[in-house]
Amino acid sequence: MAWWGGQARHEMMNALLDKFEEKYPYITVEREFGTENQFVEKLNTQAAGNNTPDVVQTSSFFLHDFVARNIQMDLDPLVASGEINVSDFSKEDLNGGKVDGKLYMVSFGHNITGVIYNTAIFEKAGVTLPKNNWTWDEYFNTAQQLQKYLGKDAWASEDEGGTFRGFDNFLMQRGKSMFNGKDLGFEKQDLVDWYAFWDKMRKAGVVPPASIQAEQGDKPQEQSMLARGKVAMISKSSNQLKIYQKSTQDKLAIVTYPLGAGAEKAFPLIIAGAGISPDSKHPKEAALLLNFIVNESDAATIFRGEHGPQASKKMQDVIHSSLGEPEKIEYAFVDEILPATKPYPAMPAGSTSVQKLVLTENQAVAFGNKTVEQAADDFFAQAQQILKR
Amino acid sequence: MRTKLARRRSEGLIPYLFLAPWMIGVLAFSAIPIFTSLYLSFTNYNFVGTPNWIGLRNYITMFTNDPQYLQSLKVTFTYVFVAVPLELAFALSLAMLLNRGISGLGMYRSLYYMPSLIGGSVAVAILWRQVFGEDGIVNQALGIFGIDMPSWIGTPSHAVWALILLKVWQFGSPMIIFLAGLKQIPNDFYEASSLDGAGRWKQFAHITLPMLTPIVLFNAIMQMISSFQAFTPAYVISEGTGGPVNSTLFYTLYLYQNGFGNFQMGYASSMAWVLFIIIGVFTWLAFQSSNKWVHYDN
Repeated sequence: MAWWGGQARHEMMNALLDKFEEKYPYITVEREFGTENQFVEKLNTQAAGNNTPDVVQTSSFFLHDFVARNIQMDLDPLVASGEINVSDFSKEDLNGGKVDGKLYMVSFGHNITGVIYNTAIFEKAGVTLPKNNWTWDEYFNTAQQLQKYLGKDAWASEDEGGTFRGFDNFLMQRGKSMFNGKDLGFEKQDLVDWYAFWDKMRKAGVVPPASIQAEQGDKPQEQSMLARGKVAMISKSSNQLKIYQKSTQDKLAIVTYPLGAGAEKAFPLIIAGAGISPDSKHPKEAALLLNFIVNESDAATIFRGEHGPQASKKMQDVIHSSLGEPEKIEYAFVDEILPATKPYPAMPAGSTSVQKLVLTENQAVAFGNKTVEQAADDFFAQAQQILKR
Repeated sequence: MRTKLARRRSEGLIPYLFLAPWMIGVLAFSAIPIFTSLYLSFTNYNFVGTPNWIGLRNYITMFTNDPQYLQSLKVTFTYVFVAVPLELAFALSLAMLLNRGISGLGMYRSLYYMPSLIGGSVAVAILWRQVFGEDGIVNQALGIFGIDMPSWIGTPSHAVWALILLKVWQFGSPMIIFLAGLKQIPNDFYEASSLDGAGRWKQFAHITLPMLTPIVLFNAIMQMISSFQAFTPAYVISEGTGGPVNSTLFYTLYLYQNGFGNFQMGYASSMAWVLFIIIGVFTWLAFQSSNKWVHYDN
């Protein structure tokens, strides 16, 4: 089995697999792990040489690409034979693991992008706490009120015009998505609106200047501006709340991503899970392992909702009483919003570079090298060229 | 007669037998992959499945329809042609200083060589991120003199300079080679020229530099080749993005993004071959020009 993650996850997975081997002494699970970037590179190389691990971790971001390139097999026969039991799964988790109506990924847990905010700053600034399903206008006004209190060296929010996950949310509300097959699934005006909003935020001084935002990049949680009290709000996956909370004394909370006026109330659901390789010589044992991870209370106790609330309510109940405060906030948020989610849209090969373009062109606007219009034009020209190679 | 021939023939095979392990290694790990990548550069190949032959399309796209590719060329050329001369000048100055018969030469030599040993590492690149950050040591030092600078690595016009300085800081190996070269220059030359009234500068311009030209050429070529292939510092400092606004998008980094980010291995292979040709051309030019300025005393 191969998975990605940090040291804490590796230890947890090892404990989990030890437990599995204890229960099924005739099976030994070989373990391969690395960071997320290395994981995909290594997996590709293995797939090219036809020696993919039997059980492969995947997520909404990789699923469609892995299926298109035949790195994952259709699990429906294993479900039909009862070897993988998904009867306790929420329908959102089931749908999120499907491609063209067939199940390829068994969900280990789900999360939703929301705005994680520092309640202490809100209280000190005397600003009302945000509520779920707030709008972009409310977000902007809240940021301005916070900025009055924050002054010069801290900001209401990070500049998120360059985050493709934010843009994915924005597009889903408009009934569109970043990609449509090997093409873009939105119009130039959508991107102009998106960049223009963040440009408005920059001009109002409620997000950090371009160079500080660029330097911040994607630093780990403990070095983030949120943890250091430099920003009051940042949009991240709901399962990150507990990790950020470890790095700050101030109480954090989470609220939905802002909605456009009259927009569809829809949020992309991010699922992390695993599938089985079509080359696997041991599909039955692989199915046994997947089933163990998602349906056995022994596993749930060790796994502790690593990737957010688990697909099976039964399994959530096993650990619910032992959850910490940040997890309780996270679970409450996710449970409330789950019915309004949709499966994460598909991403073709080449999507990584197109997602990077969202960042690069936003920076070009932030540094004053381009107007919003120019940035959107350049984005389209380059993105289409990348996808059509 | 016949036995002699047979023996000779078998003797002729023995060297190949000894060479076999190495030959197999070269074929399996160098030659075959190299030619495979040449073939892949005319295809589009996504790691899995079969490559599709598309002729010269990758090469044409690169130069006519990919602004990021041209940007990566620009960044890499800037880096190579600014960092290498600076590094060599710096290495030579230090070698000259160390060559003045100071005591404890060995210690200084090792000390100055240290950055070269660690400079290419991930750890130092991470350190560099901090040093050239908004509140890094560099900006704090400049702040003492009342110079207010933005974040080096966060500003498109400055970011590549942080990388150039990191390269210059790794002056150790050319310095060691220059030092060896300086030791080769006979002292008689300096004595004779002092008698004729030549000053320090004249000696440097007319004796030291001409005598060192073969070594300058060697160092320049070696450093140029390695700079064209620089990857780690840009990857770490920009977190793999080549940002801000592609200002640190090294050629190799863009190649990596295409190959391992987009799974466009065909495109990445053709980029690799173009880089190979670029390095070849510049190395050839350096050798061609050497007739004009390199002085071999034979």
